[in-house]
Amino acid sequence: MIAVMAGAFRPADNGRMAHDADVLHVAGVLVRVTTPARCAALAAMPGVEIHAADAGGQRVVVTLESTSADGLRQLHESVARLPGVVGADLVCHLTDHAG
Amino acid sequence: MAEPSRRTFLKAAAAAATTLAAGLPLPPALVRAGALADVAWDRGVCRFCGTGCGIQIGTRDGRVVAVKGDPAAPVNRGLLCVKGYANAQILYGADRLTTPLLRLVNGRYDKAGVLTPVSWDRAFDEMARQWKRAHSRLGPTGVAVMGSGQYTIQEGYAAAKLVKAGWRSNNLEPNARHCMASAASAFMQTFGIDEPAGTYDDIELTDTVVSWGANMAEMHPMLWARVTARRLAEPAVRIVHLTTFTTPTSAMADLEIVIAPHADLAIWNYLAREVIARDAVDREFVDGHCVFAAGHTDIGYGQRRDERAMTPAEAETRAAERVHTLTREEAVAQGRPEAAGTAVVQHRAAQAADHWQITADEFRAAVAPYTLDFVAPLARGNPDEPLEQFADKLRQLADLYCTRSRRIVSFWTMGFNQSTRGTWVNEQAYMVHLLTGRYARPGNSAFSLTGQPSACGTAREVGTFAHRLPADMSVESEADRRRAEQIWRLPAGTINPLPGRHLTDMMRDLEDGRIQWVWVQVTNPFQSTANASHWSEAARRPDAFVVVSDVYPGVSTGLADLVLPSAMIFEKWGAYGNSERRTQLWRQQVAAPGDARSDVWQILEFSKRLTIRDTWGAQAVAGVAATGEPTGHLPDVRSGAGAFGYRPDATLYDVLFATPANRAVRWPDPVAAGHDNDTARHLGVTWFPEKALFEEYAAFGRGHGHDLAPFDDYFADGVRGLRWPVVRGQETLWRFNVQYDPYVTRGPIEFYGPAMKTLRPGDRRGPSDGAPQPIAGKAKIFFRPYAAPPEVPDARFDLWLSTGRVLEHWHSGTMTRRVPELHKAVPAALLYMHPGDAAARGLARHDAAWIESRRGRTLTRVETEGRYAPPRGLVYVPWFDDRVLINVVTLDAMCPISRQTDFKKCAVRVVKASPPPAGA
Repeated sequence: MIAVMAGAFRPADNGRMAHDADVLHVAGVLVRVTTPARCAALAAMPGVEIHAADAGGQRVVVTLESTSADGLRQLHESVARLPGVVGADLVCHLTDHAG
Repeated sequence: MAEPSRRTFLKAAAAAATTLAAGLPLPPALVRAGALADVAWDRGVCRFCGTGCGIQIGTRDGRVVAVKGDPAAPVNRGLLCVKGYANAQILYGADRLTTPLLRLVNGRYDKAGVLTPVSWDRAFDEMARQWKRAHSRLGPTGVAVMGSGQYTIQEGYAAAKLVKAGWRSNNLEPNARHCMASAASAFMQTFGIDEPAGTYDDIELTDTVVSWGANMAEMHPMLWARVTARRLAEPAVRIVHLTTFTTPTSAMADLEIVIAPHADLAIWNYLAREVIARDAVDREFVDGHCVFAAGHTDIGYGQRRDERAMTPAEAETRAAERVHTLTREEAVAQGRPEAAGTAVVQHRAAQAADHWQITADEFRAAVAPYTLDFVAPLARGNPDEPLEQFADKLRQLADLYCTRSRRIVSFWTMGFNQSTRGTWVNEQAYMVHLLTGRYARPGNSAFSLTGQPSACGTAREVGTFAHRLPADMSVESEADRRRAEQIWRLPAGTINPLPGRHLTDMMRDLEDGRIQWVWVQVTNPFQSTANASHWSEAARRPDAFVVVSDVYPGVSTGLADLVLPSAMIFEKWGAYGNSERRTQLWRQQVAAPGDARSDVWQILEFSKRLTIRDTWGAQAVAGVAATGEPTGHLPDVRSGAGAFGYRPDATLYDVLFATPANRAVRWPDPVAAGHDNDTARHLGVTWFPEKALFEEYAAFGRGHGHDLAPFDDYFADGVRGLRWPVVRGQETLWRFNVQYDPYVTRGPIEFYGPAMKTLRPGDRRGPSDGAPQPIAGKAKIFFRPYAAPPEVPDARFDLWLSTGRVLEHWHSGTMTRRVPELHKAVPAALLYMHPGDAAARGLARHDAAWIESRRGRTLTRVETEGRYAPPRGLVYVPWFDDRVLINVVTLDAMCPISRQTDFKKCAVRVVKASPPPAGA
């Protein structure tokens, strides 16, 4: 059930990496924002869900989901680049391989 | 696609882990989901940078299946960066090396053969045969081991003992020579003992963080997370980032100052001058705990002395070193403006580390020329920034350091260390912090960050350098050698009193045939050493035998004659020491694949192939006569061996490793809690090699300011590493401060480090004839002048090149480039360049371009956007990519004190590649 391992891979295999479609990728990310008001933009992003926040609303627990490792990475990057986001630290990355 | 329930479950598990990491209360629904019943978790430490983040390793069915930040780890408090969670994936790349490979032709070893699978026995037989060939021809200096700051403490210790006690060669060097040698030399010269006074705890206690040339947001992300959290929590906190180009660290900085390469040397002196001029000196601290010091300036830049192997283009830069023409700025900086344009022979290279005491008045006079008017034009890094604006930023920086109520932590890493004046600029940081009393006090620190997970723990503390013995001791000191010989139970005179060759000189010796056997472990030196074309040719010399222990194929294994497959981090027991003196231990979690074996096993097993008859007889070593051995030989110590009960044909394994004391450390051991030990299993022993080596090593430091706790203590509940010295079970948060450090006998502050604690008197220009005076308990405030780099851009090579890392990749990329997420995020090393510089060369974004220097060239692609924004005149290329071997371009000039290479500065040109390469 819980496995962070995607397919084994050599750098020389450019473009021939293990295909990982149909695998759900979920990341737990601790996002730090300058003001709680910034959470709205975060919540509006597809694939992003807010689960908890600290009392000041500046540290927010979110999950990101995508059907590919690359999609997850791009989503993580978009979150990190949102205005008002000063940190998006990855805590865990879980996958659910069909096989 | 996952079932809705599975999806909910995964998200709940991820949210639970994140909530825990954040230290927030966990909703009941997440508590249930967070339990991962079929995965066994154990604590570990991250394999990558020097931060030393604590992780939890999840295994199932003999495989590491998950990694998460350890919420109980004080360093990272449950968080990890993108590399951190790849700690599991790096074990499982498709092309792990799983069997020894030897170059064979028709079943016989042949340098021209192909790498062919062989047994470990066959591999060690050839390795020993070649060792004896090189050793009999060249003596102890003809063989060498290149290790790293990624050696576990036990691996580094075993290697040090084998090389120094067994072989009587001091030719052991870590890649940390390229990484923090300058930091170490500055610590030794300034404080007489290595490593920082403070800890990461200073981040939460300070109100000012100044990052000097350190892109912490990418290179130490979890520390940067703590810095940014501090900044958000406390509005008065200020962050300053000095850098030669804009990086992600700039984004969080209140003040970004883009400086010219080497300008840090001038800026520190400007700050010292301002501190004095604005009466911001902490007189009590300086008068009570410091002296002033100075050293030589004509010390060269550590290039190759023998120029025969150089091309004419390379020799140009070498010639500019031999006789250096003082620039106007250097002349002013040395307080003798009339000397501008003078040719200065750099004849003090061999005395580069010499220094002497100067008076406070002499120090004040020395920094007097560093006015803002002098420093600002020299230091401005962005030619498009108005000078007045830049000068104002320096003034703001001075305001911070001159505000006595402000607590300040200055951080640095490779920006300082990888400099031809790396030792000096480290010492300058201490200069300003000591002048203002901002050292060894909570919230006030000058903190040298490290790049590798055990650069401190292994390279420095164990002493895997050519001049070192454990616990800061030196092979050059007779007292230190005798103490090591006593602990190691060796006849007096066994240890060679001459330091071995430093890492770059090992490569040069390989090229010249003066080293003919080298064993590379846990590093990739043929990719990571500057001016790399020479060293790949050196490795292929017919008389060279190159052994590379590694986990994946790379540049170095490709050049090897024998490849040995190694176990990776969680496939063995180990220990690392991070930047804040925190020693962290872990258990073996899983077995290594195939015939891969731990480096401890490799060292111990190979030591069975050599006997004291091979190594402890008289050994010819050039230069040894000068150390008081009239015969010119290391003495024959075999006659003394019997006194210790060693047989004349005892193997080095018997004498060094399977000692009675070590064999008494039994395996299995309750501390294993069910975990295996494949090192012991493959050695076929019932003792615990990693624990025995750790305890034997710890004997060097206990009672000498480097106390480690007993092995088992590091596995106790609630312990996530301990910061040495650990005295009576207590770690030490601020050394030298009587409130926190049990080694301080005369408070409030005592710099008790024992090294280099007598000084001759002198002035800026040199020492005088006075007798050396003791300076026990004091730190040195060095005056170090601005110096120009040895190679600067000119008409032919018109750009600065800086090299470094990116967040996603670790060192030469052998591990991280096998993690799909990391590889896809940054698949290739790009040439980061100002859009104006690109346009001026007819280059558009993503165009292929050659970057070339006097040494060589490599093909890359231009990036004018993205995460780095260099000013006009400077380009940045990361070095992780073996298809963009930027180290064939870099210059192997170095700090003559630390012997650390300057990877941040050389002159290059960038030209459009035409036609574009295949696959463009």
